[in-house]
Amino acid sequence: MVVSSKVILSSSDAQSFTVEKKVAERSILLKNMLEDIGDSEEPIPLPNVSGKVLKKVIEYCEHHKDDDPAPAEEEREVFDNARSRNDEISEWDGTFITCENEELFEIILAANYLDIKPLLDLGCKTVANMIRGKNAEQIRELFNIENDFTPEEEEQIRRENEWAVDA
Amino acid sequence: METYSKADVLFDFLVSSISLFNGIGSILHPTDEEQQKLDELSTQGRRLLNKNLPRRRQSLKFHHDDEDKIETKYFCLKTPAIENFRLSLTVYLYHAENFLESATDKDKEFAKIKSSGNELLSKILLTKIAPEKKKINKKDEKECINYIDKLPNEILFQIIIIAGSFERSFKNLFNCLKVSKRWNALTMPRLWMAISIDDLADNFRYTTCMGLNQEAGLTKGFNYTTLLHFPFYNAFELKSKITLNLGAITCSYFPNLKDLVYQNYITVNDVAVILENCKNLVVLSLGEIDFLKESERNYDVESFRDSFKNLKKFGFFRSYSEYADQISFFQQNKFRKLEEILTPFDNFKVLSNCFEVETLTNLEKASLILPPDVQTDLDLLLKYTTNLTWLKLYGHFPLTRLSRKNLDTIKNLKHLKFLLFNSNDKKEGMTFEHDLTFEEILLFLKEVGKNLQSIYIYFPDVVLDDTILIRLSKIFPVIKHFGFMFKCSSVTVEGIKLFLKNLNHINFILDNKFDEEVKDELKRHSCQIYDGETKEYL
Repeated sequence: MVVSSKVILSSSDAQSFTVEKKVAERSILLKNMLEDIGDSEEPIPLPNVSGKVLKKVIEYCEHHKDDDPAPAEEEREVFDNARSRNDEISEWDGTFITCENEELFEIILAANYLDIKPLLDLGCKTVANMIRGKNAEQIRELFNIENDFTPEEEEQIRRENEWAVDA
Repeated sequence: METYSKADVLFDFLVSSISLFNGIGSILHPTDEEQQKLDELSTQGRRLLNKNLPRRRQSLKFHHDDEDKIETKYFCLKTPAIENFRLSLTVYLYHAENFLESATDKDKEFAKIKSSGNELLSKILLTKIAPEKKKINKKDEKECINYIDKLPNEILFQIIIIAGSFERSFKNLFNCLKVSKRWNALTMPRLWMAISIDDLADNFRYTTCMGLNQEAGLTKGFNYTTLLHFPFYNAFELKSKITLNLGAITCSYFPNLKDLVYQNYITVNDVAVILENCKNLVVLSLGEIDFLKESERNYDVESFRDSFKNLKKFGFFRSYSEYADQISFFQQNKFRKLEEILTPFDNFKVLSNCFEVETLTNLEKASLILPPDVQTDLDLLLKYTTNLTWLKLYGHFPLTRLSRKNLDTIKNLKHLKFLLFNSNDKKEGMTFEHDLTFEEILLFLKEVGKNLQSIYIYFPDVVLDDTILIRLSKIFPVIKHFGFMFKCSSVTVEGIKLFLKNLNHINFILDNKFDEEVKDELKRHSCQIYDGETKEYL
């Protein structure tokens, strides 16, 4: 799997990608795997990622291979600092993540599976941006979500939480 | 509305026919035979039109609705080539339906050509377009898939949180709340936890929330995060500067409220009402309780007795009473599930009478503010609290002193991880009886120190030197926070090096007025030196 700092990744549809070890190690999952198994020439199977998505993920990791390592979980303060982080989407990242819904969500799932926190954040921020300023009906339409509330339930939710609109 | 003359329409038809056949040619790739037939039809149509082109131009409305119908019939194909084909077909059929009513013989001939064309088209449509249509339907299906709900809850939750944090308002969260039941479940805790009451100006929102809580079946609480950052859902805290909300608490019914922190002056009657209205409280932290005279109490003793039964954490910081019978407040109540207490016993005459001490076996953390002459009572109290992991004893320096017997009792607390002897407010700690020697105290520490992770003890009369420091370092094998108040001017850099060598995991040490060299050594060891008030350290 490792040939002179190269790693071979095999997607769910049996496509193989040879990447630099440094690039692969942007994924914490792969980094840990590489540490555990040491040098090997066998491809690393990634059964949860299709070739098309893996290609995109590799493109991201290639571009960010020289970035600082992702901060530790406790330092990330994902929830509380989300707003400040939102403006940090770079132009390249913005262009990279502009794609169809299907592909966007597959990238998010792949980033989650491969444990690439910055890519996961980028995906989440992009989806959050899509939600921003839209009402419930528009969000449903955007993502094809079924409204499973009864009218009575909708009314109750509105009544209980109406303060949030004015707050 | 655009208008067309008959001539225009016929001309359109001609052009359209040509583009129709061209379109078919470019998109559907008919066979040579089919292409030849289409060419023939096209030529026949052109010839026919040339002969019959009307000389008189008539105004004629073109109904776009018809186009829509045809579009629906033949489904909308959006590529330029297919669009071309679609338009051709539209005009072709339009002509057939509208112009051949007053058909002349030549028109009939034309109709015949059209019929042949239609027949050929149908054939081509069946064989060539069906697979295209299938492909397009598949694409439509793909566009209807709900991808976002394939995300696991934690990712969707994160997305909702980011969306909710864009503006200071809660509008985005409110909208997420209404999307679907899954989104509602993920958004609700965040929305309600985000509420904070900064000051009285926010009272409007506070009362709105409280009112809605009542109306909404009391399933939600809210969290005042500014002071203690309670990580709990269903937590509610009012800081002391908010003074007028007690009425709202005491007149509200919160069966699901779990945590209540209220740091104001409160009477024992108010406590009774709160407990009555918040039956499932797990944490109750109060400020100053006024126990009142017996004659001023107006709660029902029987219900009050049971209202503490679910409490796991109970504390108050001060008691206000000139009445000797205040102990009845505790005696009347059962604290059977209590795991943590913070209680100022400094005004209590008989400490061990405060609780049914044999019921305190669940107690894990105890912070007790002790009166002088507490020794016997303390032993009795700690006798049953064998599961204690935290013990903080605050005393009135220099009046509250621990006896040899007290130390023996504490030694029996095998699970202790945190031990603190301190005064209530001052930097000086609680001390020991005069007849206890330092060697005896070290022996006590050796026995109790095996599992201790944090310790703070005050030794006002001992001068710390390297020898004592190194002995101490061997007593606490897993200590992380180390707070000994000594006179330590005799400690050298070499001594501190040996100390740190034995305790290489220590990350915090209380500043005992070490000299600068010693401090530098500690810093080199990445050991935080705390030089502020001990209250903050603790």
